[in-house]
Amino acid sequence: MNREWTAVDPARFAEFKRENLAGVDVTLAVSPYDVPDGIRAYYQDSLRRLVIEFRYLGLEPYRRVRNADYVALRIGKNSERLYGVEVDVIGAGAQWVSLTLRAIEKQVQTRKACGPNFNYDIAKRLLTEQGQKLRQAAG
Amino acid sequence: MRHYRVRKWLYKAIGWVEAGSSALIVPLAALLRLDPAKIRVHPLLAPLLLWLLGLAPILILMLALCGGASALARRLITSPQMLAIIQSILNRLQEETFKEENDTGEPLHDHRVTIFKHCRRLFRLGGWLVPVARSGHITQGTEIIFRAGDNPTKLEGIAGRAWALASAVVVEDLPDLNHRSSPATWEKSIEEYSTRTFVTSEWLRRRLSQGKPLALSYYGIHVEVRGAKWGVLVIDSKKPKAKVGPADLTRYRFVAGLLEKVLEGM
Repeated sequence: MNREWTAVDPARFAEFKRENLAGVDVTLAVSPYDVPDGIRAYYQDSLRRLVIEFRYLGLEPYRRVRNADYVALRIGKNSERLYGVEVDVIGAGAQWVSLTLRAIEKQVQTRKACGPNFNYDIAKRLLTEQGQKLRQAAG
Repeated sequence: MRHYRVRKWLYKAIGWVEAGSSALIVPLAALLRLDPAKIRVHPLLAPLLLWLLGLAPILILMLALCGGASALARRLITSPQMLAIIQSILNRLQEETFKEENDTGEPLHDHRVTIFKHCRRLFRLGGWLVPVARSGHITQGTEIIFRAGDNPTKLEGIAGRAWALASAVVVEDLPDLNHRSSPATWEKSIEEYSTRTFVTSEWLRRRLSQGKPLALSYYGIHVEVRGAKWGVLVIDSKKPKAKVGPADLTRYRFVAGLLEKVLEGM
């Protein structure tokens, strides 16, 4: 089983958002903690699912969130960062990427932490760009 | 950062108390196992030995308590070695981030990196961001602390905002308050500065009256340990633009990784 990480260049994600905080316009920049430097995909036999994981600076325990059919998200217990997705690719069929993106969108709406959603945006971008390739690599 | 030398000395002194207590417990415990009838000592030392034997149990208890209290106190004070490591990381970040400015001879204190730890204080309600270390060798005695509790209306400074948002907060092109302008412009600039940096104008005036420098740009970012917020890192500069390009993100990421490993032990 290939569980090698594919390197991701964090510098690609130096993004900004203008937001109004308490009546003051400020620029919010992506946090170094929210940018993954690696991504990998593998089939987990015990779950019978394709698992796509994101690697960040630090590790933290995560909880599973099932807010859509065929998809479960791994959400960091402290930071609410997206650590991975578990997808039933057979059940989801060809639409598995869009279903995963929709599950992430739902998670953004139910998120308790305040602040921008840079991490989810980056994860969505990576899944859109590399989802199919990662699935093929997972075997 | 306040009373750094006193803290350093205190940390050492408590360490000596801890080591001394442990070292004395061993011979005293050994003494308890001795049978006074079976040992031969000089007649002059015998009363002293008997006195020590009588006191040994209570002395052992007192030394154990003393050692335990010292160990606890040392955990509450950041070790000077740890502070030195954090300081060197901040210095390195300052050097790399402001390489051009440093090379052209601009003073180090015009571009600084400060790390704040989030603390909950007993007599001050809510959370506070307290400075732990700052790059460079001057402006070290800062007493600045920012409110960073659960109430979003009471967050103070760029640090407070970065803490609450768990994101990087950038404020640029602030009015230059280091040079006095006409009264009307001056008042307007103070208002603008205080609003954009989330501090009160009174606080700002106090700093100005103390001759404290004020930056023209800020970059504040929360610091994490194992995904949980630990504190905030603030980079302030007399350059109107903050360093937030792709290369800067890579650098901050590297430093954040280093800090996480170091701060795990704090």
